[in-house]
Amino acid sequence: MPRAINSPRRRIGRSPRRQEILAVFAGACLFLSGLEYILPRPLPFFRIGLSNLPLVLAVEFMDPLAVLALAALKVLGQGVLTGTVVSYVFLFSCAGTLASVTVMYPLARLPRDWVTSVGISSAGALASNLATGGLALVVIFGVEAKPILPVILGIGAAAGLALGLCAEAFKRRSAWLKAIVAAWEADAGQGGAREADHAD
Amino acid sequence: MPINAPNSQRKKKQKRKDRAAFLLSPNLRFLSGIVLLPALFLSSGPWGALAQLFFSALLFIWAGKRIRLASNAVFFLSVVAFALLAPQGRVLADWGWLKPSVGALAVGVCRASTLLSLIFVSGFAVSPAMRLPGALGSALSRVFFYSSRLVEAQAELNLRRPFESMDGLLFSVYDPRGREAPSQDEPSVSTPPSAPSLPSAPSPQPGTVPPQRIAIGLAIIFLFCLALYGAAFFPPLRARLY
Repeated sequence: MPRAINSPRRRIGRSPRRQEILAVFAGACLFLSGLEYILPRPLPFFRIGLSNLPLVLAVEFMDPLAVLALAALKVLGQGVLTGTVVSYVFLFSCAGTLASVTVMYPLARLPRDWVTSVGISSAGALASNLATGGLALVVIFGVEAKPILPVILGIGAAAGLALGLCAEAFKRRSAWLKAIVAAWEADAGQGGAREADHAD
Repeated sequence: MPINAPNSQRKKKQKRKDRAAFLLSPNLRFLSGIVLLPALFLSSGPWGALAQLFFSALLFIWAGKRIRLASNAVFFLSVVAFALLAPQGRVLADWGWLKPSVGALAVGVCRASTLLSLIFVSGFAVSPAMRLPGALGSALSRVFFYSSRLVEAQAELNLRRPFESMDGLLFSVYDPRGREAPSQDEPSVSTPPSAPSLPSAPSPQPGTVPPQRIAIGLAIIFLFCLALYGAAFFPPLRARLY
């Protein structure tokens, strides 16, 4: 799958199809979070974080603004569905998603030979768990709970690895994702042209 | 095995009725939640915090949500346990490296109760039927639209061929090759996800609650206000243990 070259001209607001793709990806995040809710867990607190799968895939071809919009829609959508928008859970979700996106996006811009989805996902999971673990120490458990941080990071790394393997496998086999990337790239030209027209 | 096995094969919990939606519109519920939330930060004693937790749980149940006792109890106990690691005030017992103290216990109970109360009040205040204004609101309604379409089509998912079946499912929901973007008003007619896989229940559209019912709902909210703020300020409940 080709990785998009970041360009400030490539904006999401110009293309209705891009908005649609963003909505589909965010909807898939919500769907996968629901799916994970009903799947059996190997450990009581272990979650693969299936809802992050669309984000891991998106950072490889979307521009930063679109990735941020997707992250915001995912967090807000989950918050509204589960009713946690005005609780600390939402704060944790925002911090974790923002941290993972911040780490994953630059990694996804590296050549494919250097890093795959497995590395991107693992790094994102580590960043997310560091952010949420740090917040948990401050907000919930207090600094006395520092010894649990390595456990959280270890579980997070395992989850990130598993999610990365899923993302890599899906990327290799999915015709839908290839079509989406092609549509996104095609609209990048349109969006640029429209912007250029607008600027003129 | 398909994800959506027949009901007889899967234990299906009965969905609770959202009684709050009968009396209050989603936006009014959200405003009520905003009014109730500050009370949770005013409590200074463990008894007050526990009383607030009780009333918040009632609100949560009123909103048709199911309280998961086991996970909430584990959360409560773990917060209290970590608070006990830092002794404060009179020491209750000496178990080597762990010295549970009255002050630490009170701090742990306060912290755990407040955090759980926040979740319960938030769960009451925010309903999927709530419509956010502007571009964000319309974007979010599109997200719910596609999420609900995925839930409706999830019968196509097959755990033995997860990636292939997921691909087919995604094509059935949105095909970027052939399908043009739906019209702007298409998502607005959709309903939020209602399948058991997503932990939410649809509520009536805003503006469908008659004024008489709204008055009753507001009266109930007023009672909850009295209870939550009262628990924060009532002197015997504010009294500290240490």
